[in-house]
Order: sequence, then structure tokens, then C-alpha cells
Amino acid sequence: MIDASVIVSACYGGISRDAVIYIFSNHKVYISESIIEEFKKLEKKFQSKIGKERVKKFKELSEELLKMAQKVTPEEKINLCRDETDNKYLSVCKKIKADYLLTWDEDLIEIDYEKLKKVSLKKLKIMTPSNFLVHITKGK
Amino acid sequence: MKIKLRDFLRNPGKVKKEIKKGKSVILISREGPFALLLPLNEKGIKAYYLLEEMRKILDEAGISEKEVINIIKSKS
Repeated sequence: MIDASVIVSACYGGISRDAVIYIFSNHKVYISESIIEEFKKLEKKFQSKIGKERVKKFKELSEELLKMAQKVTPEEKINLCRDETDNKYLSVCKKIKADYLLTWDEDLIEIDYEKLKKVSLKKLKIMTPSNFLVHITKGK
Repeated sequence: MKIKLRDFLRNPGKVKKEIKKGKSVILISREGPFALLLPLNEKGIKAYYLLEEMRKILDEAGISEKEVINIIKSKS
């Protein structure tokens, strides 16, 4: 599972892009409708800044990228994150029994493991893209 | 097959051909603060190019990474 800000940050290259292309190559990636909505919000806000033509092109590209992920509908609402807008990521993680959630968001990263355990997310590792890459390249 | 990121960008077709032949490709990236070995497949290469095209649009429009993330994180 990759949060929307990591995908957007991956546009600019660096660690986020390394992590995103590694994940698309080697893991299953999941999204939900609420994550697609975050991209729609972005496109809407772009209208005035970059013009219709660029927004259209950006939309086509982001849709193609998101199509490479599997769409799921979370069944259970999880309420663990102090920023409640981020709970949608945890709900998807629960539904797909995710191993990793990649994010730059401290509200998600700082969630206590004991709390995750209580909602049956004990397998989930919430990491920054850089920590994830260090984690997966260990021993190589 | 190991390939450096800059060589991959110069000749992506070569990498795609190797993958189609069933060879695994390791991309050596030095974009970040440390060198990484990233095994890629066609899906990863496709993601790379889509992200690169998205970057060009954002660059042309002069929109910074921080600005985009702030929009994503805003509640409205």
C-alpha cells in the first residue's frame, strides 16, 4: 500500500520514485476509491494553476498509473490515526492484510505497534520510502 | 543484467527487450543518498515512465513537490 503523497512525490524522482517503481515491480499495489478521490482533488486544484490541457494530460497519466494498482473497497473503518483523513489507508491495509504502508506522514508512522495489534494489523509495517528501501535491501 | 539509471534512460527499449526474453533487470539508481539495486519488470518500467511524464507537466507548470503534497494533505 502506498499513500497518495508518496506517489505524487515519486513524480519528482529520488527515494520516493525508487520505492514506487520497486514496489510496482515486486509487490501487489492496492488503492481504494478514497485514494482516487485525493488525485481528483489534486487535478481540480491544478485547473487554475496549469491550465486545462495540462490537467487533462496529468489526469490521463495518473489514471493509467492508478489502474496498475488493484482497487479494493474496505469493509471496516479503522480509527487509529490522529489525522482522521489518514485512517482510510489503515482500512485498506486491514482489508488486504498489507505487509507495508509507505508514507511520509508522521501521523501514520508514529502509530503505536500495540494499537495496530489491537485492530489485527500486527503484520503491517508503516514506513517512509527510504526506510522501506533500506529494509528490503538489507542482506543484498 | 545490471544497468545504470542513466543508461536505462538513454536506451529503455534495450531493457524492455531483455525483460521480454525473460531476463531480470537490476536498475542501479544513484538518485537517492545511497546506491540501490532495484529489480524491475515491465510494470515497474511503465510506472517509471508515467511518473516521469507527470513530472514534466508539473515542472513546466512550475509546481513544487511541497505544493502538491500540501494540496493532497489539505482537507478541502
